[in-house]
Amino acid sequence: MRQEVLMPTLSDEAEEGVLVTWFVVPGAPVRADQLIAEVQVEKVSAEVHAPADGRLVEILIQPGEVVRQGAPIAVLEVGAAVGVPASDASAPPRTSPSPVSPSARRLARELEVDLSQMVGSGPGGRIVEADVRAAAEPSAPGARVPGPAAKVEPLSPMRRTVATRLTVALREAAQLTLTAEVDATALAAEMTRLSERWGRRVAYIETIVRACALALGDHPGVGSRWSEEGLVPPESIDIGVAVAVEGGLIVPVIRNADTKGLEDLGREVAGLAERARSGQITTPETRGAIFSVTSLGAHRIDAFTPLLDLPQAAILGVGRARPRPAVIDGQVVPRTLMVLSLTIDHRVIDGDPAAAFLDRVIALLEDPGSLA
Amino acid sequence: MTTETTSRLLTTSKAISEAIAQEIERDERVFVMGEDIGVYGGIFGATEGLLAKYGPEKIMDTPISETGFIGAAVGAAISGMRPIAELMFVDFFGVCMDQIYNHMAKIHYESGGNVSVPMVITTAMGGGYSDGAQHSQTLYGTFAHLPGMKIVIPSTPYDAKGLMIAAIRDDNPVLYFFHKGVMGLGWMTPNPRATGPVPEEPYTVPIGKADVKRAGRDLTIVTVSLMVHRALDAAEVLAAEGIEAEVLDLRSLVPLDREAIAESVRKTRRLLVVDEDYRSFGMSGEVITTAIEEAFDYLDAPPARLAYPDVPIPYSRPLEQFCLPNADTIAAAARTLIKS
Amino acid sequence: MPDNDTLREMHRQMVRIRIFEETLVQVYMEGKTPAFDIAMGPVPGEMHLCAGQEPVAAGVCAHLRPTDAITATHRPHHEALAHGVDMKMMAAEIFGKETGLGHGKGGHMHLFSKEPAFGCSGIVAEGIPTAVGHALAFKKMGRDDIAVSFFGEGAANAGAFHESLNLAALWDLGVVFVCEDNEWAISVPKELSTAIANNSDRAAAYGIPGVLIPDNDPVAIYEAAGEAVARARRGAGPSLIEIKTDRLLGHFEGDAQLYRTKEQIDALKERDALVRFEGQLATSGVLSEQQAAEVWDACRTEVAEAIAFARSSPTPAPASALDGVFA
Repeated sequence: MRQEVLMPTLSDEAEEGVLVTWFVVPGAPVRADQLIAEVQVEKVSAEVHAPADGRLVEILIQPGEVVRQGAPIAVLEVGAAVGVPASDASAPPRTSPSPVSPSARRLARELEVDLSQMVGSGPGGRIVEADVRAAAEPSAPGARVPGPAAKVEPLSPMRRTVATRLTVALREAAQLTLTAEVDATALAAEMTRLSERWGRRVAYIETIVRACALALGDHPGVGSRWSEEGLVPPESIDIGVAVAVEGGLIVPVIRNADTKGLEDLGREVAGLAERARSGQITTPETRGAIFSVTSLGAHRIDAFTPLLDLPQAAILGVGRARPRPAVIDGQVVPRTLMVLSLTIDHRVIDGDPAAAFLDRVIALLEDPGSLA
Repeated sequence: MTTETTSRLLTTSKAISEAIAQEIERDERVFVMGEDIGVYGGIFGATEGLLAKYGPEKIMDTPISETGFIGAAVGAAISGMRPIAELMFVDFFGVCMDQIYNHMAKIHYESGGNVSVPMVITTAMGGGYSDGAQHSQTLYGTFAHLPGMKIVIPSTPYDAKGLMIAAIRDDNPVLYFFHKGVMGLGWMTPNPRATGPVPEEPYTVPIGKADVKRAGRDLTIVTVSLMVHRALDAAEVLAAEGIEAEVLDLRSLVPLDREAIAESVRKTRRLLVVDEDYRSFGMSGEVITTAIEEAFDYLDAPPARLAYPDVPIPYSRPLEQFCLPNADTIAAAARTLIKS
Repeated sequence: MPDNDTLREMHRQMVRIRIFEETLVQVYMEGKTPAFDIAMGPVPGEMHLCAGQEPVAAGVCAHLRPTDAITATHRPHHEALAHGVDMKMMAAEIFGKETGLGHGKGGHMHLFSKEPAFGCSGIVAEGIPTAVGHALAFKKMGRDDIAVSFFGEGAANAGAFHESLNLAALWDLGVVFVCEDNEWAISVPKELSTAIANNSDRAAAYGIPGVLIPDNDPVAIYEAAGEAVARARRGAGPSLIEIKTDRLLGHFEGDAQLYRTKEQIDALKERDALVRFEGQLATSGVLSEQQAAEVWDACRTEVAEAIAFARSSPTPAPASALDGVFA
């Protein structure tokens, strides 16, 4: 659960103060009452302590910056710290870097390696020489400069974050994917009707998000989260919807998706996708999902093994819907079929419960009236 | 590594007495005084056999008057002799420290250079054999902190002879520390490293120059004296685990070979200081600070130290052994350093 | 009994010492007023002057060669001057100048000279073992030079004194131990510090001769010192001479001397040994008043030149503080 750390109110007259210094770096685990920052309002300085055990996932105010009393200065992920870096795919570049050993810093200078998005393998996330050498390959010292034909594309912050998050997820979670086929014939027809009624084109993803929201209500275990203290059930059904954007992926979150009917939900999904493609999604809008949906259905992809976005324990991948032969009552008939690929974290969800969840999603999708 | 060109072996104590003997023969100004250094040959054997060879004019047993005879050594040195005065245990320095640090160490400077004090104080240090809080200390950090006296601490018989000759020939006051555990005495715990090749002819080992006793690439262990032996033992264990430790024997604390420390750290990136002296405010802090000052950009992990804790030395064996660094704890510290 | 030339030379030494000390009384206070600040002025730090104790130096040093070694105390000027240490270089050292004996590194309590052999220390009693060492060296070298250790009655209670007398006696070393009893160890009078009445009696504890000179008389000092020096030179071992002398000034300059009364100080001035000696020399025809006046003039000139030398000498370069630790 995420909790904001606020700027203390030290003065009745002043409105603003200054963040003087941080004593932790983003991503660092913190203990309750641990000293994390020093702030100052007028002439009064004060220490800020972590309100709970957890991980300081994001620093919102930099040293020297002015901040209003009571305004958030950092975000704390409450609970036991997990060694996953804090930033989301769409987060702005980190400005408080991980600690770096002097030798790594020197080598990074020599090899022109950017340390700003790196998380190291040393204690406390310290970047050590080995990390720099690894990051420098293939642009190792003395390497041949690529010829005019091959241009090395520098790693964007998003690319780095995606790379780090996904590899860490693969390392930490016990991922497996279940696939199942949906007979979306009735769904397609319903979508056509709704499109006419609402005056906009309804996309499969809207209905799938709605189905998942409802199914999560019945199967909250799928929306739980792994922690050393135990499985943490979802507080609200917040579902992330992956949107492909230039250079990567952005996953805005629909809050309380189970409380919104298909029309509102659909409109929200469409709206978020639009804003994501135009770069308007803010960081808070991408945080807090307990389940995600990602689609490659616009391509020729039938099924795939989507990767988990930790700490979520499940993600549903959507393949393309198209007419295919199906067998109904012993007859081969053309139906609109679509494969759903559910990747789960087996630490949190076993195969049977996952299958039951997927059954429910499919049952909902094959009975489109139930989605309203 | 210093190369030895001989197959003759001596213990450290015999190497020291041979050095003194050769210098007495070469320079009539050299003489020795101290408690039990004559008939007894020195409690730890540093002057064994010398009285018989050179007589009581050269090898003078003194009363228990450290202030008196060390002060006399100062005066004799000013007047042109080259005395060697033995402070039986370095722990006894309290009764004569004024002569050492306020007189021996300062007169040359105070006189603007026109008076010299070419003397050597030899002293036994170190524990590990339950001699208790007042007879087991090393204390070189305390002396190294005070300006005006050179400090040498050999760990091998070869270095012991070379540094003794160098100390006697040096025109400055030199404190020559020998660890009881490196002397090769029959009545102390046997130590195979206390015996080694020593050339028969006189030679010097330069004061102020450290020595790489074992080259390595993964971490640098910096230390002196008996802890050099322990570090070498640890390095053998570590090598079997694929960790190659470089062991740097400082040999002198004043002058300190800071460049050798920096060069080694630049090579290995990781520093472990092993210090039998009390942990705080001493040699280990000085070596680590030197590494940070001279080789900061080459440190891949925070420097570490394994030093005697800040407690008086306990008598009971398990208590004392708990406090002393040993090959196992050195190896463990090295492993931790590699991972950090 | 010293011959007339020796008497006149002793007088001259006492006069030049007295003028030097009295000049320093004035010079030391320059720059330190109105509110006394010990760090300020051309002569910063502490200053321990020996006015009144001149007979000790004059009487003992009359027997010494430049190659005889002296160790002295924090109150060293009389012994240094009487032994032949260059007054200009001594003054320059006191002024902390580059041209001083120690290039400004030692100061007034750490005056060192190779020829004549002279050293002093600010640690009470700790110069005594050094003198034993000089004598030890001379014996080993076969030289008949001797060592003289000057120290105060306070030092006679310190361990170094006892260790040194024992060692010198044990090894038959040519040391003359001279105890200058000026009664005061800063503010503590001797009767409150010393278990016995006369330190000269302590010599017996070490099996060496002990002589007491009770009245700061330069001639008596000369005679006792002559015997002790001769004994040391012929290899018969050490001696102890105790001299009751007078410290006319405070322990240090700036000392308010609250521990003794004005009457006590005035009484000292009344029995000023230099005045008495001058009177005796005049009476016995060794030195007329006129001749004495000429000596005073000549010495004033000598001291003035030394102080002028010191004042006009350059200060050492600050970074030279880092040099000269090791030879």
